[in-house]
Amino acid sequence: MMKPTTVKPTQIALTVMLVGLISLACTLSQFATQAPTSKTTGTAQPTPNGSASAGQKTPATNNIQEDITHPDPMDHLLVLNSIQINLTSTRPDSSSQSTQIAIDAAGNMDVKFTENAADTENMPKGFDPKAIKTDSELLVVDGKAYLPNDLDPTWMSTPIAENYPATLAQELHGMDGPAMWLNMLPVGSIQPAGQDLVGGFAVDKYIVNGKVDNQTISGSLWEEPQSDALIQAELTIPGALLSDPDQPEPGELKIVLTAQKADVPAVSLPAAPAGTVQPTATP
Amino acid sequence: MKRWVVISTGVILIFLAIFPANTLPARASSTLSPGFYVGWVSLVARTDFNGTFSTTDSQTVYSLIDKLEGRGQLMVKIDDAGAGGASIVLPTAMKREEDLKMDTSEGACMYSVGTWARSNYVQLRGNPAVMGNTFQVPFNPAAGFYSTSSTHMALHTGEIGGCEQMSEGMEATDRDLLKLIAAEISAIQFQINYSNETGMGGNCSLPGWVQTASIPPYAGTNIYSLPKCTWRVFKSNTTNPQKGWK
Repeated sequence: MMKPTTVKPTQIALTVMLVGLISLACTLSQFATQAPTSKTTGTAQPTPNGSASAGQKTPATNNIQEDITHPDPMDHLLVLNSIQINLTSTRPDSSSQSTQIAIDAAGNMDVKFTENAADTENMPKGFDPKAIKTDSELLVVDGKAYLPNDLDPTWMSTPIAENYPATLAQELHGMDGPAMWLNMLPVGSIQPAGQDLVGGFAVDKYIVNGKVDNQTISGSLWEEPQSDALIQAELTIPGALLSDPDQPEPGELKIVLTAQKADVPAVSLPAAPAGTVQPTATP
Repeated sequence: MKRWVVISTGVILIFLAIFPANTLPARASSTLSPGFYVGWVSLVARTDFNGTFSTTDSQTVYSLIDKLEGRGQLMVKIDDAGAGGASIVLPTAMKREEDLKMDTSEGACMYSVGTWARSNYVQLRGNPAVMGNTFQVPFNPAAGFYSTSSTHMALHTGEIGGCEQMSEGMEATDRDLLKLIAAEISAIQFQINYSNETGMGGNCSLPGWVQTASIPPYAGTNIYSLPKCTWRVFKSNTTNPQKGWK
């Protein structure tokens, strides 16, 4: 025969407290799993004109800024005036590309891209590969980029990109530039190696020697302490980091960045033909 | 006291049965390690066309190659819940090469035109989504497109006229046509072939790109192909500030 149910008030109170604690634990666990998601919530920033500026001006969150737009010593180099910069990369297949940037005293730029070992595969019959112009040049005035074009007499009136310095900075952070590789090195990979004088700058020298996925990235970099600008860099990246780890590419990617103070002639646009609008340059 | 133990245990079991998912971290189907990854993406996309066109007194052989070569940076962030997103900075060099030879009863015309262009495309990470074996990022190399150079040459034999003018006209037209070809790309999809605690990578594709088409009035097939599209990212050391290097 069953006994009549007799539950003491203290037992009821303990049960209610236990239910409350479990509910609280469940609620907290929900917050714990949602927290990282809310941190990374961002809005995709399409770039209708393809320029980096569109994405850079309106990053959705601080996390996005960390990805691309947070300035590093490479960015600090690009804001120096009266300077000549040369970035050359030689790939494992011996092809190479270089970017020469001359920045005048006003911050305007003359940017030249050179692609060596032009792709002559399937070149139409009759073409002399040597005659093919593989260089391109942009003039950047007041942040706008203009492409000199013999076929278009109004090129100086029609910029091809707004806020081009931001675009350039992002291009130089690609796989052929030093910044991307330096950014991924673990702590301790960059060690001080004294002071030096390069390109007219008094700089601190650092030895680079660090491993990424068991492959050693090595070289040196020179940084101007006051501006925190990367003045010079020499990096060697194993080809294995440029390929599938199961099929490592032989050879190396060599990146050489140099910069020197220079009396760069003022970069300006020629007068536009009569009847076209000449952009106003702000000194 | 026994009844108190039974009641408490029952309450606990009921709650565990109702809320098991909420007590465990949400995980995506993949086993990607949470963190911030940075690395590269490299692709070569091209079209190849060889065609002919014949009339009663002429025969034309035409070949056309469009080639897009992108080398850029890829950043991937995966959160503790297994969701993630990717950003790309992908400069692309483009070129178009066309070669035409027309034989007629009045003579022959041969011309070649080359056009080169560049673009830089930036797409920042969007809202985190579940990362499976593939993830997709908008990619439009036609945005920010600008021609960098072009050239042409023409030769003719016999009494045929207009050969030089035709090649000049094509040089101007090809700059626009190259941009239209680039505009056919709207996204890049990344396939994860390998991943571990230090990084991940694999192949990529351009949805809708690989196809065949025709170029009227020529007989022949324009083949869109993707000879190369690979990527690899490396996990950043979480204790290493992303910028600064020292």
